[in-house]
Amino acid sequence: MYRWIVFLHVFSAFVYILAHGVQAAVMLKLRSEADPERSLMLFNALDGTRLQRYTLALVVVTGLIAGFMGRYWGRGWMWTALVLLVVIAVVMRRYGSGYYDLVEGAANRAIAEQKSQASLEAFAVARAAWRPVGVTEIGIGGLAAMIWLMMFKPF
Amino acid sequence: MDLYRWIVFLHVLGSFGFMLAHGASASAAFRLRRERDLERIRALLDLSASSGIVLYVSLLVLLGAGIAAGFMGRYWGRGWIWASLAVLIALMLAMWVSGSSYYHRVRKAVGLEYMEGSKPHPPVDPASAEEIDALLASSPALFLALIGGGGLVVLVWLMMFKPF
Repeated sequence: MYRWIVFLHVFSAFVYILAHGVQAAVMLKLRSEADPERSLMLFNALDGTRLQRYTLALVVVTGLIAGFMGRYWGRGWMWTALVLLVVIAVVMRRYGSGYYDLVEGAANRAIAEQKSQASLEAFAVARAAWRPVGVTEIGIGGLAAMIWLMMFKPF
Repeated sequence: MDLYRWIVFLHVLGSFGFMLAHGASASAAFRLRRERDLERIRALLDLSASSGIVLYVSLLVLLGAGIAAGFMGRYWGRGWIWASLAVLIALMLAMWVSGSSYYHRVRKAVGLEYMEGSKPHPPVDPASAEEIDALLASSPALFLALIGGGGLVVLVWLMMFKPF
């Protein structure tokens, strides 16, 4: 039974990452999209987050159950992985979602001001914010650290 | 240092990278079924193509590390590793035959650069709204999701349980 729970945990983690991929792609694509109207079109790709929420819930629940079944709650790696997951989720929500708001707001202002020079410059500044690169680095680094903790169970 | 475990770690990391990069295409495939605005269709297709390099690099990492781990763990005499390789190749072929060729037809229909066979082509005039509608209505997105999801279940099961 334990192996099947871990199987479900791994499978749901793969599906969660698949569902999350579109957000990462949109975020990185927004950086290079200089046309405000086209950048707003990219937000259309983000309209379905249900699969992501359900699979994240499944990842967490099966991880917690596997922790009890494997008697891992006394080990440091398990708690570290959980803390990492929470920290990454908070960073993603705060800075990742914040970037979408920043670009969307600047794009809407540029369109409202009929793409004036000043509004396009403000839009370019918003697009060039550090957040996509920073969030991507934290996300990939955090994912690698969590996989390492799960696979090596080092402490 | 246990090199084998690090190679498997790289294999798993490559697999996650592949899934992350594939997410844009998978999501765009479902979104395209409902979209009829030409510019929005173009934006979705461009988004879908934008993660291509990460996708192929991740695929190379997961394949290279998987093959190396197979040798290091002496698994090439076992059935599950050959079965998983066969499933991966079958999945890629199915995705290419049903997915890539279809989305290049859509790219052509909406006036974007496209591939025919292995030959790249410059944009041509967009097709009529009716033709685009018919093309998008015949989307293989659900079929691709079913075989992709089913294939992933089988692959993860083979890797974790090494049943034969």
